[in-house]
Amino acid sequence: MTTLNAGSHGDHDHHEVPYLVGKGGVWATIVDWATTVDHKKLGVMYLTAILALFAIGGVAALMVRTELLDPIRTGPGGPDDVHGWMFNVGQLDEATGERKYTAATANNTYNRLFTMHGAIMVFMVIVPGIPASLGNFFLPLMLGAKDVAFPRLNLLSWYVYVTGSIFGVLAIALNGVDTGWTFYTPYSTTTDVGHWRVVYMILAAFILGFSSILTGLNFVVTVHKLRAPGMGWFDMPLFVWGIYATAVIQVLATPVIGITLLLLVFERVFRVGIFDPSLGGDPVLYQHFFWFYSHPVVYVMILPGMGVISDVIAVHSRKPIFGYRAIAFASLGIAGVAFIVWGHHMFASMSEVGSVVFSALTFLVAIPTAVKIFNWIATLYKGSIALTTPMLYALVFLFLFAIGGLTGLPLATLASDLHLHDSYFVVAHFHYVMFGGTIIALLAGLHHWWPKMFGKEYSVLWANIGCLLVFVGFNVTFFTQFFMGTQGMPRRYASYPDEFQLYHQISTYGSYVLGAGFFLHLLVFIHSLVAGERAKENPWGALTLEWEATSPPSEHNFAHQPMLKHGPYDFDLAVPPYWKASDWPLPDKAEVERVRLSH
Amino acid sequence: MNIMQVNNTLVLADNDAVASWPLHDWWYLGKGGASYSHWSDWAFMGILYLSIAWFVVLMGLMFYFVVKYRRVEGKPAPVSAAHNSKLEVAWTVIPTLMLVVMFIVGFKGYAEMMVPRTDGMEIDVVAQKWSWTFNYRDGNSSTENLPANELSSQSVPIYYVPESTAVRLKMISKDVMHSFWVPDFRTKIDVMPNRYTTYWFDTAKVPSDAKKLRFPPIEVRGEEPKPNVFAALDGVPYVDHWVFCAEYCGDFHSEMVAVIRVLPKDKYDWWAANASSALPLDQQGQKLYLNNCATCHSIKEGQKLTGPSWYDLYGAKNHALEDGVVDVDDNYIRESILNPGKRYAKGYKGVVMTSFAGSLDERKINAIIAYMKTLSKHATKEGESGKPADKPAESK
Repeated sequence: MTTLNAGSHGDHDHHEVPYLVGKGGVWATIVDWATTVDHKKLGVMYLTAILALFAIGGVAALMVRTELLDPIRTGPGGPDDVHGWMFNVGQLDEATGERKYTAATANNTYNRLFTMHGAIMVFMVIVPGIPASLGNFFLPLMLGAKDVAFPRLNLLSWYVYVTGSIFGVLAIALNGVDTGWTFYTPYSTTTDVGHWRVVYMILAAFILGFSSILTGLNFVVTVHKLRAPGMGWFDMPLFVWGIYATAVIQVLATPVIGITLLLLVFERVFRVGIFDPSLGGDPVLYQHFFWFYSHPVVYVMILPGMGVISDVIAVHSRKPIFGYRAIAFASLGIAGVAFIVWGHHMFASMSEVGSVVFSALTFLVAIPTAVKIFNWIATLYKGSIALTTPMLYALVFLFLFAIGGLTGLPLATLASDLHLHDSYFVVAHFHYVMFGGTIIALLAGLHHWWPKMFGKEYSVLWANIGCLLVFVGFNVTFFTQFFMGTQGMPRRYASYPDEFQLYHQISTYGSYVLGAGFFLHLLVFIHSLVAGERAKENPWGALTLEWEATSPPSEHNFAHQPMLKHGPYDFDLAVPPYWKASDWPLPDKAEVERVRLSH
Repeated sequence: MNIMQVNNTLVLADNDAVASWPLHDWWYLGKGGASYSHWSDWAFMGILYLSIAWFVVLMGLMFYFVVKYRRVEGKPAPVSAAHNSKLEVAWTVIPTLMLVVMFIVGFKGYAEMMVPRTDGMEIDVVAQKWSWTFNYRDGNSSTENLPANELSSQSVPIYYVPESTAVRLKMISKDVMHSFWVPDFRTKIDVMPNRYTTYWFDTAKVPSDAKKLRFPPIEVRGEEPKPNVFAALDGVPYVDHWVFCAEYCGDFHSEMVAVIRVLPKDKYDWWAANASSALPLDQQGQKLYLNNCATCHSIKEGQKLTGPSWYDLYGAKNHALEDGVVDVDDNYIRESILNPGKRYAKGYKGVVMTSFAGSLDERKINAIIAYMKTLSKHATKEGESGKPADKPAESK
């Protein structure tokens, strides 16, 4: 049971300088970060960009929800008898030079806002999300490596991400697009004629796809080739398994959306008839192409999150994850089945036989997902559970993701999906899994690894209050939407019949609480960076290799190549790095042997 | 049972009479209006109860463990096994069996929803941005609209269907993807521009204590209010079902709404026989305006919406265009309906209007022209602006 005392070498060795320390003046630091191939700096830059774009997409969502409090509608007095209010960009009247504000422009603004929300969140936040930030930072550290397999490729990935995001922001700055993030044809090929912003948004997604592919490729090779001596596949932390399964999907699935988006641009610009029936094309073909990627991509979104949760639960219960191999194989299984269920997004437009086949296959993917949830809860059994902020978020994850997963069942079931498809029920379902799943897991991971990343502590009290606000706000916002959906409220509606108004109002007020929770987290993070206490090297007593590095890690991560001496969750066998044996009571060795041998 | 292939959908020939069934009513699902609707509701409720049970068990265990196994500083976690083959197999196999049952229930309900009855009636439905048009096979279309304040927006067409009848809708879109959703029936189907899709439902008997129809007098500009030609339907019970568009299609996606109104059989038959002859041409035109044009064209003075206002438009001389002027006569109106991109009114350059070629036939165009005359001071009693109708519209 070796613990690596990296800190004892002293600061005279420049390799021990934390990666965050600047190398000279302001300009030198900027150049250093702009040209770095250090996975940690790239991870921090990704994290900053992702959180900033999350804030922008979140503001768009708050605007959407605010408009739905009391949408524009005309009353019995005719077109001038307008009720409600909303954000309305209006339309320039070329003849008079005045701006017209009508129901059409109000709805159009709404449509652009919800498209902006979806496009930013999916393409720029959640898909890169955990892999680009926490994955980049911790994959090499967890494997005991100095960096990823292709550090310069990693830098390229970052700049491709920046370029794609700039295209997206450009499209939004030009007043945005109103196609929905799904770009269904023929609407997306025929709307907004004479403007280029739809093309820019499509190209943004196309470019961002390459960032995803290159990162995925990098991670696959890293996991195969850069593990520390002694680390077999089943000695890796489960976060690595999550990242690995994600990377495989990214490499295989993303090219399909790339081609699809390119074809979409050709159709718009050159009027090639692939998807538009007026040119001889088939709109449902587009849906098949689109969802062939966009279904696997939701597993790209959730698998890293599940990896985070596995590690957080294990560490904060000081217990090996129950069913390690089951979770590892379930991750790969989910990645595999992800590719054969895309049709469940199209039950209302696909052939009957196709729908039946896809419904059956979709149930298949529910099984490894459910097994993981059982494993996590079983890990808590006979654990030593500390209700730290990461653990609170992991419990919130279990709660919200369970609801998200269970509400997927009526959507996989054909008889009920024909009612619920394209309703608020679906909106609630995917927010529970993407937001209540991935984003909550990101928060869990951030609070878990923050001391390691930045060497600073954060205010536990205010972080926990933030967690409470997020949890309450989230449920009020989105649980209400299940009821709206079953009662007939369609999605992407700028206004609605009166009977839905109370639900919308409850949902909107919930979203304000949710926003407040995130704002509080932002303040906690900023305060931590500016005025936080110095963090301990291994505050949680974790056993995986990243905790052997200093907090924050030095430029090359480790002073010496770490050698693996124990499994990632052997809390009953090993004293964690930076902990004294006297502070880490171990159970009776014979007892440990007996229990391990009996299974 | 005979199974035939019609338009690539399987059609069951079944001679059972349509029974009346009680309208299901879950407070969070709403009334279930078709015979197959209960499949959706039972599937949903079954899964819901199962989910609640699983959720309570899982969260219960989670909270219980978190409390019972709270960390005690200085004490290690008790030693326990890190896997248990029997348990893991059990919790894989048992949920799998439950999912198989769910799939089967879903499949059976789906078959009921997708395979239409062969008896009953068929209606052709056209979807376009942003309206639903039902073209009855006997030539009728909607003769009534929801007043604007019911949806708090544009007028919503009401389409009558008889009770206790199987109805098949053969649907096509004129432009982009739409989706026909009747929440009360619990099904939807996408409506596409390149091929027909079929949506079917069977209506229940109208309960005698249902709401009753009212037919108020009709306003015509410049004249006394006229008594309603549908006074024969006054006091008749009915049941309404919302139709929503469920595939995003642009600015007025949320207002692309219709109502299916179920009437007692004899009253429906009266309406079908009398509908088209009942209304004078300009009132037919007003209905067509409400269902097809009102979203973009106002009838109020000077109100510019997506398209120009029709107030005082008919018969206007030297009406301003982007390129030149035109006298607004029958020919110009017909051209604007069938080939709207040919000329643009001033201030509307490049604004795309979907052509109504194919959905508004010559009779309907004339009805709209008749209605436009009632909105304009330039129209004389005979309706002509002084120019022979068969001379093409000129731009000067």
